[in-house]
Amino acid sequence: MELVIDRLSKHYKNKMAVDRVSLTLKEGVYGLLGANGSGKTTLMRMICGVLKPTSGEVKFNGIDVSEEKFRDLLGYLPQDFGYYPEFTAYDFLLYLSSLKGLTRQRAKDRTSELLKLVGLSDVAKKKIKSFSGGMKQRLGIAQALLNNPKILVLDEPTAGLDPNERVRFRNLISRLGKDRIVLLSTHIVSDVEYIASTILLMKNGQIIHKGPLEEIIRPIEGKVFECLVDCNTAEYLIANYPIINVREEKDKTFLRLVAEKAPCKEAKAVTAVLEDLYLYYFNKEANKSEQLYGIN
Amino acid sequence: MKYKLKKELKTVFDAPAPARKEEFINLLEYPKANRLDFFISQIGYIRKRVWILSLLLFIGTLIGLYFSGASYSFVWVVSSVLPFVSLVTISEIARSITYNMDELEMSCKYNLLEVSLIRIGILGVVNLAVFIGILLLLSGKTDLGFIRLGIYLSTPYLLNCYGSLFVINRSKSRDTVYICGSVTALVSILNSLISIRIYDIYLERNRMFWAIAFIMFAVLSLKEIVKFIKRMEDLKWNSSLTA
Repeated sequence: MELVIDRLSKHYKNKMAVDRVSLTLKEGVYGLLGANGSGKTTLMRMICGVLKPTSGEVKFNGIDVSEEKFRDLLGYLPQDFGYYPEFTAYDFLLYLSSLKGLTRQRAKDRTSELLKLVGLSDVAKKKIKSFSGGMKQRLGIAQALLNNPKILVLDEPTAGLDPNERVRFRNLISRLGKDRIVLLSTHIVSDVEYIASTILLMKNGQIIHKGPLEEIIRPIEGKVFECLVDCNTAEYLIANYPIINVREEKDKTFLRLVAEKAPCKEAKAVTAVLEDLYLYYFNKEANKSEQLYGIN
Repeated sequence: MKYKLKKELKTVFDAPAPARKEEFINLLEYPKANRLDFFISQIGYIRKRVWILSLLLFIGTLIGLYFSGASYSFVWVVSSVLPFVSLVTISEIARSITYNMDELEMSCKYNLLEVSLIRIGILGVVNLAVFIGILLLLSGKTDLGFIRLGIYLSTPYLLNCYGSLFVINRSKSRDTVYICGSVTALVSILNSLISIRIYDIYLERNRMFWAIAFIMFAVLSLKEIVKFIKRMEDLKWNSSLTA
């Protein structure tokens, strides 16, 4: 089982949304992590055949993304999806089952199974328009699993879910990754940290880092520091180092930051986590936004 | 004896929990629906209002004929109502985009293009059946003849098809159906005004005007249908999706 992405690019008029991405994915959970606008959704749409690439190709066991056979093996949860207003949760899954080529009986069985799995059995006959965001998201995940896909692409699957639901879905996705390729995008770092066997860090349309958690955080290991400093030192550190966290504590300021060596005598090296790496790489963007919105 | 032994064993020992049940189920290949099953399933997903409006129009024509007879004014009333049938049809075809289901449908085995083609096919047959039914009812009651009457009734319908498809093919908004509704209202009012103001519009001497209008709108509608299908095929509409 192998999903090969070869020099995949998408070029809009004045923007390179995805820039020559090449990856080979095998069974397991892959977490695509990146800031808004980094090209995650565009990449996922191209992998699902929903968006035509400017160049490059996507193949699963030699089957091209444009073929019906490829779509037969695919489950996709878009970031934003709609529904026909007259549909109940049950109708929605039956309708998508018909599009996924399931027989009527199999569609009914699978729909009941999945509604149970995502905890929507009680509201199966209720109109989707009465659902909360989390319920809609659970329904979206259920539809992606209808055809028991070999490739499961989930764009922000945990968005809108409450903490309990998120934990349940993280466990479900982990289980699903045992015998299929699961690619999920998110900017919730902890989701990726818990379930992804391989992390793909995306910035400006390119995969800048890929690998397991231990490998991916290696560049900042021993470079993350925490300190409790006075106001003046805090101002100096904020101006000169990539800051991961700031917290005001009475007359002092707590800082978590990245530096080559201890930036002040109070600083203590701490274990790096994925969030540190993420914030380190996307720090420039964050600073730009702060300036844009006048946050200091 | 064997049966008894089995029964006894069941009462003595608990059956072990199935090991790797899910993995085993995943290995099974379930029978898939074929294209005919898919086609039949899609008929059920055409909204009731399409069937109701078509039926109402047919019954309305029957009642109208019974009470007022097939006058010229009855012809323009029917021809002014027909564009609304095409509006319902077009809104059904463009439904995936209107309700943001397009991305999901594109990723399915039978994708958006196939769903759209099937909808066009089914609704085209329904519209044609309603149209021929009305034509058969009216043609026996007037001296206009089958073809002339057909042209008078279908020209505003075709104009609306062209106008609405023109909007759908060029608009990136999800509220396209409302614009199509305005186009339909305009076509219907225009048809009524022309028929009332120019009272000899249905006379023999204007047949060239009708023939040219009919051919022109038929060709333009066909071109727009081809464009619509190509749009689904080439995924050109994707440029409307966010990056």
